[in-house]
Amino acid sequence: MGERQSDGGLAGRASRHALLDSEVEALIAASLIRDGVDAEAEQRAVAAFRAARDDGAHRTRTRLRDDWRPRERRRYLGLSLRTTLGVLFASLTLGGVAVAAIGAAGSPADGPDDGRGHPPATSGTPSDPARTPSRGGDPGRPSGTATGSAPTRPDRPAPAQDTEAHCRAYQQVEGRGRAMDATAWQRLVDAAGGERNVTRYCAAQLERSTPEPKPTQSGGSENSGASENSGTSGNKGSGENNGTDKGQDKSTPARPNGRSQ
Amino acid sequence: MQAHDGELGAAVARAQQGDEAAFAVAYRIVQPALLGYLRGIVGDDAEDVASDAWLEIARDLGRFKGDGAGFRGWTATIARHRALDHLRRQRVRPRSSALEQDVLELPGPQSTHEQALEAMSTEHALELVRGLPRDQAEAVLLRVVVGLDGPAAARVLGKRPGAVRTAAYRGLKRLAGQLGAESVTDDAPRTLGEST
Repeated sequence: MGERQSDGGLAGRASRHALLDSEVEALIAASLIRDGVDAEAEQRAVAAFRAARDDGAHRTRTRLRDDWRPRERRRYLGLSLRTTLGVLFASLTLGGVAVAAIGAAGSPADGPDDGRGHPPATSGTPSDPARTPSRGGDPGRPSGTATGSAPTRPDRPAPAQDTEAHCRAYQQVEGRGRAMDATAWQRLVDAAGGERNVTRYCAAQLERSTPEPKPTQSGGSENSGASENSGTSGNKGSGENNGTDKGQDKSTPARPNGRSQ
Repeated sequence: MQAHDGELGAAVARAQQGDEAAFAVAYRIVQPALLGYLRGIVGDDAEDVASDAWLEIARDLGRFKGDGAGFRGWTATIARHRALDHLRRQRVRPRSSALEQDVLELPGPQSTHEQALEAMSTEHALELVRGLPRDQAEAVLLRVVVGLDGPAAARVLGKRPGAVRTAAYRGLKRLAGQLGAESVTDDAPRTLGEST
């Protein structure tokens, strides 16, 4: 500060002598904040508090403007360019991955797709089971995702593949931007049965969809090539309960073995 | 002032359970900064406006949710609304005479010379802050005097954080220029030395 002033003595004016922000802040705070409170004013406030408390006024509902918990504040921060870009990026990513999944599923999986494209027998299954979060957790129950709505839209990738693609996208965009706004994302949340379940649901999905060496080799070795074939095409060949409905024509006996090991 | 936030949060929580003494503690922690903020907006009427604000704070305390920092933001919002009401009323009614206020503001006979100087520098700082455009003045006051962070100040003002950040930045720069200019021309070396 001293040298600044000696400078100033020579050169003169304001522009040369802008203070640091912290100095201004300290000066303003020191000037405007007076320590200590007026006892009388405090008594009035406390009396008002007492009256309100005794009237039961304090048992009132919290309005939005009364909620100052930190989460709220952070959400407030998010109204920015970054958010917009995040949503754009997420939707592009989700879309791109979904397209890639269609391409990948189309070619190598022709065989199993045939077997799987028309299980009309199971088309009556309501699609609701697909929305239950316990889908992967209950091995005894036939899973509805793959069969529930696939027959109604033969030109689209099965919803399970959709889901898988979304799960992959989710892992990629996780923590960046607000992918939550994308429609595809909402579908994934529905399928998982709630936002909180998405991570677990996706973990189950992806685990199921990646070809597992152990069941294929041990259980599938006694088996025909059908199970390995399906293993290459995403979630269809996975050793889990997807097999219960669609795998009946191919490798029913092998599946339970593979799973039990 | 943020150092008190933990204590403040605890006091508020106890006051919400009905603890009168805890409410008094919260009052003593919050009031000085709140009053400083209000001085920057309504000047000498700050005490009255603060009283009104505290009536509302005392009444609505049960509605509040948050920690110590949140309580600063919540109370500043209430105080601000009362201040804006006050300014609206003032526009309708003729103001009380400046002369009368000046008389009331004169330091009493027991004031030492030093106290008088301090009072002057407060008045002067106030004058500078109130000379800023309103948005800059409020942004500076909320950040510097009330001690809110950017998002909280933005919420109090009902503006986007970026806008408030910019306003605070410009306000501080402007004050820095004015104070710096004074530090060269008048007795500012002494004033600055005392206050920083």
